[in-house]
Amino acid sequence: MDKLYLFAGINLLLALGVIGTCVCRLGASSAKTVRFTVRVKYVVILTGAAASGLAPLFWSEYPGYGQISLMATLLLSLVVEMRRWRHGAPIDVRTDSEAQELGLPELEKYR
Amino acid sequence: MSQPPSLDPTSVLVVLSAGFFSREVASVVAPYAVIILASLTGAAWALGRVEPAKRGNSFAFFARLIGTATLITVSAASISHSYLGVEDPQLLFAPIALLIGGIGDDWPKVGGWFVGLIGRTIELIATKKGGG
Repeated sequence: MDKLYLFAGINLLLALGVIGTCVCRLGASSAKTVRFTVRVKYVVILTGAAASGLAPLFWSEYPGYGQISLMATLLLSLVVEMRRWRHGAPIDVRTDSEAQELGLPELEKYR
Repeated sequence: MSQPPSLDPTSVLVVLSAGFFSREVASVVAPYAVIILASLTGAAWALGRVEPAKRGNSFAFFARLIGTATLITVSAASISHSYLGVEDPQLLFAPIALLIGGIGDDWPKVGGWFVGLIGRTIELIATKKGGG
């Protein structure tokens, strides 16, 4: 039983990390200036992470090694992109005129 | 003499987790699963429409909308299911919570649109009666 609770706790902590990252990224993304597909990506990840982290409460479903590793991978994949999002939405996901004016050679700097 | 509680991080996490995921908490929270998840999705969309200058704290924005949806959805579904001809009010939980979250801070605009709609309807009826 302790193992179930330990896994549920670890999964919830990882999910909170994913949720926090997604909320910050969505907070930095305006519908007018950031690509629709990028916003869809973070909305879907946010909802999925919330469902997974709270699954023991919602559906009495406890995570195992597989679910925890998947959640850790998801968090890691978001964390490695943190530098790009430090000063708001990166130029290559934006659709506003500033991003258009910079053009492709300039975009390479932000990758 | 009872043993002092273990303070290693694993034991602390197990104790906290056991408290958070207890059956008592689950019995209260579980019926709200759909409402919480649907309003979370709606709020995530609504956040994109808010001007960055007026945005403030994104976490507070989510907390406000999920809280509102949690409080209102059940009553709104119970009231509206008979008007909409839906037998089970639970079927309306997801769309109503999504709507509450999705509209976000634009409720005054929705109110203005609704008042305008009523005005246009009354005007139309009056014109038909007057004009014959």
